[in-house]
Amino acid sequence: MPLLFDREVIGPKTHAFVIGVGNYPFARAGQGVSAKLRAVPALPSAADSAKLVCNWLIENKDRLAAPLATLDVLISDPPATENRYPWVPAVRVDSATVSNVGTRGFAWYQRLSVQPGDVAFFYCCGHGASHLQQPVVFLEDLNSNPINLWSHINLGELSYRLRKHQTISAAFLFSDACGEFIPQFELIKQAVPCPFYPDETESMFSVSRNQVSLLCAASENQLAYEGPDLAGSHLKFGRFTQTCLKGLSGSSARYSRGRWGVNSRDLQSDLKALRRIYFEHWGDNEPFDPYSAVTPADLIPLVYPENFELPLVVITDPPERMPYYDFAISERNVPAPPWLKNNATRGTGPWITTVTPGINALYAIAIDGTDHFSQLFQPKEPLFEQWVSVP
Amino acid sequence: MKTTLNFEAPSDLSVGTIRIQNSEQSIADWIATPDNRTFSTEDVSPGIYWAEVTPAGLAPQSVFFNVEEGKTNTVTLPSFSSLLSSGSKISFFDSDKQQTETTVPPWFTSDAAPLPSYSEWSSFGTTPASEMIKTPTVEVKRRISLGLSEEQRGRETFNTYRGESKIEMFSGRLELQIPEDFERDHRLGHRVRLTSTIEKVRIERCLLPLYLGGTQIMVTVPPFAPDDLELSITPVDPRLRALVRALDAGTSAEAQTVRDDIIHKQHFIALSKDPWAAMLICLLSIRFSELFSVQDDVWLRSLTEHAAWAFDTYVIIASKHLSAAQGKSSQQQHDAVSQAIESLAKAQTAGSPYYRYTNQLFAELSFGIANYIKTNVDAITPAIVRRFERLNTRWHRELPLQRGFGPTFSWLARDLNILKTREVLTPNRTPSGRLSAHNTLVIFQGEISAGKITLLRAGQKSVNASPPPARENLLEAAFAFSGQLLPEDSPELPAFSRPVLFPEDPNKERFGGQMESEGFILKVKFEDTNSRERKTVILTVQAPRATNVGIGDFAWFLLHPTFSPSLIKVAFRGQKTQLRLQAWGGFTVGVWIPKNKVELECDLSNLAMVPDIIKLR
Repeated sequence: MPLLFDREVIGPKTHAFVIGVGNYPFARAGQGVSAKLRAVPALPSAADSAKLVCNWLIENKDRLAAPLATLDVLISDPPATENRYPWVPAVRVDSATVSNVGTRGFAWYQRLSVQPGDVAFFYCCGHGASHLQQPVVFLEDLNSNPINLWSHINLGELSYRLRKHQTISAAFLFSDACGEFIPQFELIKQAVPCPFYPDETESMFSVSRNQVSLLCAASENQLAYEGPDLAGSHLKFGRFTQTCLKGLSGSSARYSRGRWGVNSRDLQSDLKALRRIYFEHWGDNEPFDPYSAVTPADLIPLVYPENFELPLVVITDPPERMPYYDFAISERNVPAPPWLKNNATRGTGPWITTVTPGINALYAIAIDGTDHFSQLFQPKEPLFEQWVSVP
Repeated sequence: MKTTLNFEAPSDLSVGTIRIQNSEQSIADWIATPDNRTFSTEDVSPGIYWAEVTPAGLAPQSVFFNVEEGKTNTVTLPSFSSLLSSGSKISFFDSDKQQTETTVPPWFTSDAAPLPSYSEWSSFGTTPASEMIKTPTVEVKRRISLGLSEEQRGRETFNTYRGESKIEMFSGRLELQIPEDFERDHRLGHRVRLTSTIEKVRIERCLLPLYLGGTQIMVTVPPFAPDDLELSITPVDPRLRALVRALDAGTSAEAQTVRDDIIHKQHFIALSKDPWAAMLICLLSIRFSELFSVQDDVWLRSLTEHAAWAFDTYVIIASKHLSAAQGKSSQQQHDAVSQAIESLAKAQTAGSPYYRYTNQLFAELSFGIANYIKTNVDAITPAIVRRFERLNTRWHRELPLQRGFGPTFSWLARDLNILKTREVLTPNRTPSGRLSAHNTLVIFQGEISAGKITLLRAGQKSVNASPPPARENLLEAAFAFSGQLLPEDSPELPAFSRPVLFPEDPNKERFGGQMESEGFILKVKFEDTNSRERKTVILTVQAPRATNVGIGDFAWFLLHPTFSPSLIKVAFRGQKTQLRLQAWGGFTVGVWIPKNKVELECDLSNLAMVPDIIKLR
């Protein structure tokens, strides 16, 4: 099958593999092998999340620290319903079955092994669980094969294999799935993950390389959730996916060594704050608790974003004085326009806004009539807690 | 005259990058460690510079300073902890006063110190019609408690911790310190467990390392929601903290610097009896295996000698067995796998790991061994294979709710009701936020909301249950209430040298009796809480505008002994420092500002407009 994206790149390059499992045809009423697995709902947002990630990768193909060379994608799409993400792929996209993942995944692994210094990008979204504390994502043929009811990918095992891989320079893995504890699955010894990497027992004795990052939407026993992209919207994607893409698009960028980059460690540490800033409409009823299952040793950038703004949160000290002030961001320590940004709502909560990464330091100004109080800051990273002392 | 610069980085810096630069060039860029924090040059161009300090794994802080021509310019930065609490990523060093401030000085102009040429993507100067981001309006409040328990001799049960703690508060941040206990023999392995509980969120536990020099527990409340509260556990000693930072967030270059500047230094051997230092070095030698050599195995021997009770010790040994067998004969590899299994089994017997990286290693080793056994099952003794299967099953069963924060391994308390009714392990998501005092030393109880920490007074029942202490014991009682330690610099409080005149209100008439002195004012404000039985009391000390308050300046607040803790060090931010309490009943608050030698005092029950719940109880 042709890849969704394929081009020649000279030098280090990224090989991406994206999987979205939104359809579980053998795990619905009246279908499949085991009666216990006939109530798994379809998950359109998982399929759409994978499409969103594909689009993001292609849009940012030249901004990736190692430019995108190949992108393969498998999506199990549930029957069309309303409020779906419009997406017209350039090639036919196959479903995320054990067979397809095994074949195409192995091809991806082989592409990674050709040129030393290349970068692996892996993303998956679907129903998930934890198995022996490893995050897993279930594939489309869940409950179809009596020998292997629980067809799945084991992200922990994949990251282990990539940590033992001796030629890739970095691997970035993302899993937007629940870490649910399922007793029946946990107790099954024959829960064989879908393999798409060589089984090298000798590698156990070799040193692990610390350039692999695995970010998961939810730790063991935690659930991951979908959410609308905008307040009032009916279009849903994985919350973890949306927040990660927001960070990768620049909201989690730092200035280092002459460039703006996003690395997985900064991204992980920013995720909860980014979710609060950009996706407040998801509310507080469900936890958002992403975690880093495997952390890389070095701060390797995944992407050098462009045309972005950095989040900025301005709070008075003390916080209860917020309603007594208007606020502005200015290049000058003067309580008069022109502003870069301003807010005159006098709400009780922090003022959440964004700023362009600029050349000079800026002032956050709290204004009460003719009196004003300011604080200098440099917009060279996300600022989730910019205090302005007021009386 | 030469223009000289003598620069000293924060004294509490463990390991991190320091860059000193002006608008044209960088004049210094190095990875600093506790013994390598200074930079000096006798040939520096005058003008505005800034130092960017980035400890491993933390966000950077920038301090601007002005190098004056023909002078010896000495720049000594305050502690990184103080910079962190300043509320700004930027501060300014005043060379005349030798202190760091957030106030913009006259010599600074924003275009005098631009960042290196960033590209600009959109034009400045426009006022957006509306903000794209909605500000949350509902403030969520959660009760929080922290407590310590200690393993009983020879048993896997935990009882009340018999040590001490002390506390400092910053805006949105709380720092608790467990000082080194010189009487404790680490070889006995009486482990200490920290429990934190957040109302309607979780109960989280971890084993607490008792580092030489003390252990610091930091609680940070993000500005958005209390559910995102962050904990961190680090050694007080910056050299030991460098090991933790390097393991958790260090780059290869930082780990190498830690190796050369700390671990391989002769004087560091003195720390070899600290079992957690040995654990950290051994874990570093596994994570950064290319940087460490066989000579570093001395730490493994130290670990085996001093910490045979620790889970981490045996996982490290298992890992070493396997890596030593790389490239060896099949039989040697089979033997290594068998030895690793034995070690992992011993690890399990020891309980839970201290470090998250140990847990990751355990999972990685178990996975590798399971695969190895599949293809070499006949080469491993059946009894060893069975042992591995048992440990794999038990591993899974015992740690289903694992979590972690920073480098620390933690686990969540399970929901016993759901476990009984549905036989599913689920975290307890509805805790009260309180800890039972019968087997736990409560070191902090309070309430958190977005960016705020409020100290809670003990309930009336618990206060009434114990008779009031005798007058001469009142001071001791204030600190003994929950094992709170008399802070090192607190003996400077002049009030302590004065007699207690009112045993029920021990601070009364011991702090000068005035709410205003030398221009400093103690302000008190009351707010309603969810309970009719309590009020929020906001105590604010406002410094006079003419007074230069530097970053790191602080005030001591002494509360009624029924608060846990009752003596609290609170940092200034800008011209004021603030402490939030939830209380019932009247009592006298005493304040001591050591830098300015100012005392303030307020009897809450005597204030005009005081709520009845404060005045009448």
